[in-house]
Amino acid sequence: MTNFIRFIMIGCAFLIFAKSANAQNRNDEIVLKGRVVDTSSNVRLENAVVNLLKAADSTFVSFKRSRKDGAFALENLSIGDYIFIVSYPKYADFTTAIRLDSSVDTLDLKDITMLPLPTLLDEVVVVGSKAITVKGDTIEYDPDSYVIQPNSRVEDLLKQLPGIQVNRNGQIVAQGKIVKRVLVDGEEFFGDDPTLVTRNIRGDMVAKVQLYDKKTEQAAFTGVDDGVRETTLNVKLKEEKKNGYFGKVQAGAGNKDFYEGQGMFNRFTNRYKIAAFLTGANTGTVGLSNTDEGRYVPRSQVSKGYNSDGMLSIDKLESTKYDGRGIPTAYTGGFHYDGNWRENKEKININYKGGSLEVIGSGREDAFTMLADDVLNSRSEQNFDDKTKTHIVDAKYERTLDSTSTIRLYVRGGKIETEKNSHFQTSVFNNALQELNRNLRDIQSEGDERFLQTDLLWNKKLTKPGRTISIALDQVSSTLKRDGTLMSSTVYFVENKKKDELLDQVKTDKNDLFNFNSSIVYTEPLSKNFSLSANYRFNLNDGNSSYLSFDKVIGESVLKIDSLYSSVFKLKQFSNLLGLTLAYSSVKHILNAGISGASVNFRQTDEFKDSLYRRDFMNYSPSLSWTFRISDAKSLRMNYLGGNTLPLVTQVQPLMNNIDPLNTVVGNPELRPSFKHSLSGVYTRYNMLSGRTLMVSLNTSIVVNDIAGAIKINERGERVYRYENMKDRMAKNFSSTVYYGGTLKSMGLALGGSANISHGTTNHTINDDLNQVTANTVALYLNLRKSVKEKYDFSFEGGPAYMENVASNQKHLSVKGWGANAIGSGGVYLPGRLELSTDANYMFYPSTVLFPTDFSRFIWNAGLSRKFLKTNELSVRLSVNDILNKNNGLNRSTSSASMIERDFTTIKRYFMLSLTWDFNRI
Amino acid sequence: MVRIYRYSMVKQGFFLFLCCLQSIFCCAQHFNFVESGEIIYEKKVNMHAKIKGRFMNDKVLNSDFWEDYKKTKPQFFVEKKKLLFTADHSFFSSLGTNVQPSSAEAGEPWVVVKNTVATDFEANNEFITKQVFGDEFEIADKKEKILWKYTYEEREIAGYRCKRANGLYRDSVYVVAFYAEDIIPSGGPESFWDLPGMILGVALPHENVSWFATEVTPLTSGEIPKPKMKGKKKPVSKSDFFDQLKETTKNWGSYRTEAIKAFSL
Repeated sequence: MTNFIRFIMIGCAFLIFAKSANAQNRNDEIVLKGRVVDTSSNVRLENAVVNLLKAADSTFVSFKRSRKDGAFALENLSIGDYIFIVSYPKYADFTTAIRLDSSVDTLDLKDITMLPLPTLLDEVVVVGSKAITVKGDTIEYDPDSYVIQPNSRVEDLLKQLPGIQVNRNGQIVAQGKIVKRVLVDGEEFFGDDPTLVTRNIRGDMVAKVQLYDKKTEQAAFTGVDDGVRETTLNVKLKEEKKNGYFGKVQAGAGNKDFYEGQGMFNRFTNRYKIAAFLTGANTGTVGLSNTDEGRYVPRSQVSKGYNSDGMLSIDKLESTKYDGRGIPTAYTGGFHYDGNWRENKEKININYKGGSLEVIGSGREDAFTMLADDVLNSRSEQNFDDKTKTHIVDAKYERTLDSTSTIRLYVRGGKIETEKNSHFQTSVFNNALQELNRNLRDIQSEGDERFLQTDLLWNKKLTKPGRTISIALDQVSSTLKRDGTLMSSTVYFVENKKKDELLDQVKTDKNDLFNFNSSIVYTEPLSKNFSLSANYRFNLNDGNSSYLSFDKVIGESVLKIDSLYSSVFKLKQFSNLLGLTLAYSSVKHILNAGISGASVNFRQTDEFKDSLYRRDFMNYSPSLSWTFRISDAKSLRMNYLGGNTLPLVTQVQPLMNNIDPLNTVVGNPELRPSFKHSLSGVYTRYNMLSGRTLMVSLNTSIVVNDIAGAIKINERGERVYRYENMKDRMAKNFSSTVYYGGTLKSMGLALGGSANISHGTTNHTINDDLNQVTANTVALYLNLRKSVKEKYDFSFEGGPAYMENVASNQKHLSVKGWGANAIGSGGVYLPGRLELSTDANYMFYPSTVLFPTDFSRFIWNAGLSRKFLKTNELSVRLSVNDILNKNNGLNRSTSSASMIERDFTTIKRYFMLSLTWDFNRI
Repeated sequence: MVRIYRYSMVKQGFFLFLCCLQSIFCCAQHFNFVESGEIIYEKKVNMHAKIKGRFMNDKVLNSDFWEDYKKTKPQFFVEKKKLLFTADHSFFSSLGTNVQPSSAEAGEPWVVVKNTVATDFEANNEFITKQVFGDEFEIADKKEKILWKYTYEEREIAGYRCKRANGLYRDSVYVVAFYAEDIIPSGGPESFWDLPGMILGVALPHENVSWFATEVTPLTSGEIPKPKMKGKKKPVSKSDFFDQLKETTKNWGSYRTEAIKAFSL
């Protein structure tokens, strides 16, 4: 606590400028004097330590003890910037920055008034407190430097941290990157849903928040970088808060049948953590976390972030997603346990998550596709009812065998069921407003998927320090079944000749996949700073898939197979990868240079047509990374990665699919891998005395031989997609963000601003004409926040953005203009234990040639709550969502070849009354 | 003109409130600073780290020796030291050990070196009697200037609140020191000094050596021993001593760097 106060004092003190018309003094003869007194009684303090440090590096310049009358004089000082600290036992340290310039030869600080520390505060011993510390590649935030309102959650704390943004759905963006994982004390907590940590755990339990790019376990162990990174937040809890239980129960009911309910319970001890939750709502605010991401990913497909290992991508059921379209009804539940024994030598972590999500809605979509001599407009109307049920269990067991080796077993299994019903009605018009075709479709499908993944990892440190060996084995097996029906009728109006096409089919899909992976990594220290690592990986993919279509024949009960749109495949893929990495590490620098090569052999047997298709590839991937720890406060990180992306099976030899007869895909057996170079860098500076943060990040990539779409659109308005290598043109991407922020001490206001520039070019062809799409954005962003504990808090973030989207084949239809985005929120603690909170969200899109009206949306929500009971644990809240009833569900987007406007069913204004019980026994 | 901005209104109000409380319940705090006394330090040399380092880096020792040493010998070599101090003088000496050093310990420069340091705070002079492998040197010179860096870290040692400072001694040895502002003389164990308070803890993280105070008591004897000149020769200066040290250790091989570091303290 003493340090905390000291930091407030630093914050409160300001530069002392000495200006006087006196004669110039000599360089090293400045005298700094003053008197140390007690604020309350004006007693002079003798023997106080008066200390002058060099501002640049905190080295001691001069110190003295104050005399009997509290006076002191530091002599023979030279011009410069200093930190001046006065300390006296049982008083808070007085700290200020001082500039000595040549205008005076004696600077008199007069009375330095010291504040006595209350005895209460003095009893707590706190070691070193800094708002932000950069340790290697980890940024560490200290929650004590921020305002934590009573009953607030981790999310409310995160919102205050510089460089971190949390959106309405709880998604966290740190330094421009999405945070994939939130850990508690370094342990997984319910897998990959960050809100289960951020909206569950209390803000006052947090000792530290650490932000870093997590490496794979093998890389972390061997110290050799394999280039795979996941932006991770680790929430470290205070030791004294780890014994007890806490949680909340919330239930709410609204008009128009809206409801919301959630329950969370946590029991933490030093030995184990148990947590469970249950939610149910149709308001689109809870239970929407995307469980799809964490379903399973074979190791081969995580590597390097590229699919350099093969052409096979696993067929997965498409889970229901809620993106603001339709009305979602979600139920979720889960259980978590992690514990350790034998002084942390054995650890176990078990999670279960299950739930269902149903989204029902309807809407329209208006899309323009630009051709060289025409613009096609496709207008469609759509009704949908999608449902997904998931159950996923995972367990991790880790054991330290002895001081040099550990073993880890990880098992994950799950079951996913989907049910989809949709109805489409689409018409395509040309520029002259002639209708080219009209299509009516009903698609219905039911799917069932099960998977089991097992990973085994063994790490061993050999006797020579730095010499390690690590072996990983893992397998995934999955089975997918999907049954569905398709009814489609298409009418073509070409040259005034009407032509009809009718489809009434039953479809059954089956897909079995087995993936096996083994890898071995060996590291050898070459000298004190250098080490070399070699790794070898073998990967096997074995799949069987059958996609069958049957025609319903009128009057007959037997179905007739449609051989054109049916296929039965056997797939086999081997890959062997060999890699070498050279690492250098010293106190200031960490350098990693690596190269890996992989040979991929792919075989596909079409049992239906009795044909064999083979491809063999050789891939190379160089990587280079450099971390420069300039000082405690400054760091720089640069990364280069190159690698191949292999064409997917579906791009080389796709399944003939008639699920959307107006949009079909044909294969290109000539496709070659593309090569992507990416370079990124981050510079971070945190100034402790002023609390200011500067972050500059840069990301750029180019893709050579890019696998790009070649779309053919015929006069009937049908599209055929094919993929080709762009030989002479590269796809380019560049983006850079500068963030600068700090605290305006005089107002207690956290203030930050950022600027972002991005530029991207992609290429594709439409009817053999090259179309180059260039997208440029310049965005400015301001954020303000002020919190006063138990009084109020408010925040604003937002700013304008200039967007430009130019398609080379139809330049006059380019999208250009200023848009804007803003989010504001505030809360006031009123007398009578009332709390008023409100938030608003505004966005503006400029008009374009194709969509000639500006589009803006302002959504405003507010709520009033009152706390009950002695402990304030119970609260009642009345809230209104979308007070102005402006959520019209309209949305505009631009993709490479087309511009789209969508208008769908959304959640509009509703009222809700809810009761929350927030319990805490820690 | 001097402008000093202080606390924002809210904070000021809060502090004023606390100050009012303070003045109601308590009189102004006058602190009894320590001006003289006796400090017992424990000097610890981490022999496991020393031997492991030597075995790993220099391959001087073989792995069996290390395995055996680890199992049979204690991790630390511990020796008690005493510092007597007043406002203007201090005297640092060894209280010896009651255990016989093992052969490895007896060969370790950081264990072997024993200094008696008499400091005159007025004149910034020190008189060192240095025992190195049985040889005794007498050195009289100015105190060594140490470049100290302030940190915001604190810890408690022997009941005193100490601040941490990081230093560089003779441009080569990284020093972490903890000093108590409550004790006025700017002294410390061995030749460490020049911080605004008494140094109660010193760690040389790269050398695996530390001195930490275990108790601070009032001075029992009224007099601080004055430096005793045993030798007949005149005491040498520091630079002369180092020249001599470098000359004698010329053929010491991998021990040399560490020996010079240890003996130069």
